[in-house]
Amino acid sequence: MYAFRPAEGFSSCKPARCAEGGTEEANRKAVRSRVPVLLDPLNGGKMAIDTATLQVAKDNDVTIGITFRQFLAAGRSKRIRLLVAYRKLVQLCLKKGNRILLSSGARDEMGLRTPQQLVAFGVFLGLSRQQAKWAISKVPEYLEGRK
Amino acid sequence: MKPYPPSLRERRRYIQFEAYGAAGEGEVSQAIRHSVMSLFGEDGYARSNFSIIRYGKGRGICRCTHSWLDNCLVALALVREAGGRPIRIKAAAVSGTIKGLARKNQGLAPKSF
Repeated sequence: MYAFRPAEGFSSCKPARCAEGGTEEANRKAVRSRVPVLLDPLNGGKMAIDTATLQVAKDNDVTIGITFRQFLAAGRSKRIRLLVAYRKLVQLCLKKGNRILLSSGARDEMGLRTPQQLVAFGVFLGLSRQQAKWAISKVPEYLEGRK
Repeated sequence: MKPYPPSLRERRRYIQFEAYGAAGEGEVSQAIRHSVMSLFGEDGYARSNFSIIRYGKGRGICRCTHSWLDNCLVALALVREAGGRPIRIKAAAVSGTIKGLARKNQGLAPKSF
């Protein structure tokens, strides 16, 4: 289990419960445990999540979280693999109707990005502008209400 | 030379950005250009018509075509270091004209988004 550490100066924020994915095993385990958010399911750059897992995620009300942090930290070759994998994941999520959360995932001040940049990032991954705005505003509101 | 007719003119978007970090002016400009080139390649760079109009004292304006706006915003967001020092680029405002950006700075028009 993983919890978002609030950035400095935001210590009053409640951490959201997240499970960090990356491998098929970790993704499946997180989805079955009904954790609110499965964060970075393709962190390794491989397509480590399939339609069956996404269906279980939808049934268990698990949100798929994509952070900008992993793209920022990745080198050039890994970033290419991440882009390919996440574009495919976004396509699958839209087809299956899974909820997507977009976040900067910042650990420090340098990792922060503006909402406009996050929306652009969502559009870059294959979401429509409206869906990307939804992913950075309404989905966190929903998760906040669910806690 | 006769100018292009309005229907053939490209629609431009000007992005005002702010750089946070301890890097020099030339280094920041170079890091941004490198990020665009790294993400989209030479072809994408040419299609986006990306260029940095001005930069100084941590603030600058860059330009791209309107269809490449989101891509250029991502490229700006992906800049993480310049000259070996960590930096962060924040896209402050977007407008179709430089005058529009100035108006947004003065608070005369609502910021985009």
